[in-house]
Amino acid sequence: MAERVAARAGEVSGRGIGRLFKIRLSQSRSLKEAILRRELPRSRDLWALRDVDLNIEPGEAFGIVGRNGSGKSTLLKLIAGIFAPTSGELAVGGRVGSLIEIGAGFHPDFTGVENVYLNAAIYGLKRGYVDEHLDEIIEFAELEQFKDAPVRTYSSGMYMRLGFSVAMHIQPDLLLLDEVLAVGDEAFQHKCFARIADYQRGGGTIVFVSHDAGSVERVCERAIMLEHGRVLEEGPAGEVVRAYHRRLVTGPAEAAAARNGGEPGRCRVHEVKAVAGDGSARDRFTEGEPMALEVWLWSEQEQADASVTVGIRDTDGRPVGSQTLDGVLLRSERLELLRLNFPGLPMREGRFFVDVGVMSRDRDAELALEERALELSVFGSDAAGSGPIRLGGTWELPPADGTGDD
Amino acid sequence: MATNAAARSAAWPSFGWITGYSDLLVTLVRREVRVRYKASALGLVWSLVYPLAMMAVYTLVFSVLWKSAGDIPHYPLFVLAGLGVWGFFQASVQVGTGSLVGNADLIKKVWFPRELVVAATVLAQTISIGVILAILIPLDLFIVPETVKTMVLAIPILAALICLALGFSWITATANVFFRDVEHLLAVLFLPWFFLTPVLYSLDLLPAAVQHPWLIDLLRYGNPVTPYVEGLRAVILEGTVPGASLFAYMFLVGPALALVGLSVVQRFEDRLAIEL
Repeated sequence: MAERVAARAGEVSGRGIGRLFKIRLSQSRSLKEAILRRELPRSRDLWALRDVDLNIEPGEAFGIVGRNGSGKSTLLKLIAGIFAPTSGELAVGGRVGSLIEIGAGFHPDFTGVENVYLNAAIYGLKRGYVDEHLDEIIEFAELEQFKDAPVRTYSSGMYMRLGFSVAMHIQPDLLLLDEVLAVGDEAFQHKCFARIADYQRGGGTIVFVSHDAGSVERVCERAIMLEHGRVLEEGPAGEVVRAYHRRLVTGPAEAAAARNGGEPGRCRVHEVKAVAGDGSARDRFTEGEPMALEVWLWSEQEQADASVTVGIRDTDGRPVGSQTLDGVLLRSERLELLRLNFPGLPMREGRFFVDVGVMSRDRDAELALEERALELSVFGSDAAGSGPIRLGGTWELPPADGTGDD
Repeated sequence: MATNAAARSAAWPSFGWITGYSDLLVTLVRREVRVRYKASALGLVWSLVYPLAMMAVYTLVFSVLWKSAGDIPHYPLFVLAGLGVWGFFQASVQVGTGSLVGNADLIKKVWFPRELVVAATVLAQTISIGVILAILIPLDLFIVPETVKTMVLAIPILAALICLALGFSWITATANVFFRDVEHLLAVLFLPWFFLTPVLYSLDLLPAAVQHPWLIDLLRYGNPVTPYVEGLRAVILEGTVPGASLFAYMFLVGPALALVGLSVVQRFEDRLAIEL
């Protein structure tokens, strides 16, 4: 028997995890076909995960980012124990609850209550435990009036509410989450997030999977980035997410284009310049000075309705602000100029970086991203303020008994 | 405690599912029974109507019209006992075979011992044989009073029969995940198999028993269901203890097949979620 490393509740530790899939080339699943067409190659090997090391501490919120097909779901299924790694060692401590595909295990002909028992039993809970918590589960799902109706009569919202409630009441040590947590209406959604936050405060581990890196940065402390089944980046969530963004651009162009559903249409940020009020290009400015950012974009193919975002970060990588323009037309093989005007430079003092990103229509694919396209230095003009941005307020002194300070 | 597929890649079948997941087993059995009888007005009575009707037809054809069963005492009871064993085996394997594919949603989503799904369908089928025995046993005791001494042996025989059905279903259910026509293949096989099983006749009373004793032995020991049919009849209908070889066969083959079946499910468990 394979040696298993003992793991504490809520801990995941894996070394050199790999998972091989045999992809069937023919769709056939019949014994007849298997015998008659023995000579044809019927499958192809695919490593969905390769040499993945994983170390998730109890109580941690851990993120996994990567494009579709990078191995995220395979890793989740390994953690959930649905199948085993082909190579390497993986230890998962305690009970794993999943908020992915909520309610998938319900039996349509069973009532809500019966499904609660069934689902809880699948997670290995004793009947006595469910007896005790049944009211609580039904109440959380707000299904008191419907608990004895078969779930096939439920609306999809009711279905999801019950599924969520069961999943949160099975006392998971580890919770699997993805960005699509669409449970019921907005009020219930808030209730769900509050419940998840409670769970996390109670020391529960969360594994959060997403291809929307922004939410990973919000939820998680640490993260890994997967590509083609391998770990490309590992560390604090913010850093991994930035690496992921870079990767989306510098990675294989076909991959980025494939996400867009089109041909590899190359698009790039040709140049970014900062121009002072007198029209001269500079990289040193004084606080409050009029300034414009000129962004030159080039695209091989025409992009209608692109979105262009200009973001400014400080030297620690903290965002200062960003601004997006939708509905930009990029004609094919032409340099296009966009100009973002600032009547008065909003930063106060320090060094700043300008990032420029181009997204396709509906912001579903990143066409180009240039980080640190430009570096700016800004000097404070007076000593009457502090902090990274110029507040820009104007003082006014009441005329009658004006005793305003300073 | 085994908590996932990785933990159970052992060479020997694991039994953790019986102790660790007994509540799930009970819930799943209950589900099977409920689903089966929920929308039927007569419920359990159906489990009885079908074998009783078949018993009446077979008696009419083979005993009254054809008179080929003339030497078999209490022919209707003889047929009913055989139908009970066969019916349980066939229904278990038939339903059990499709059970993994039928529960694909569950299996793809969360890990639990997969053998439970199949075991639950098989155990739910015991209700039908239970109903038949509930009718048959008092009748037998009344008509053939000497069976009272051997009746208790029905319990181990039934237990071994359940093992046989479990083992069979575990294997065919796993095979059915990979080749979806196994289910249909079985449906085709069951009819000839039924006639090769001495449900309607007695092997010892066949003319061939005298001319070709080896053929009878082949039919008796080559068909795993036959010893249970004969064994159960011996103890509940004839009041005799089955021969040593029959006894040994029943208690070796059933449990052995169950072990093999269990290791098959556990061995392929890892691939079930992928294939489904």
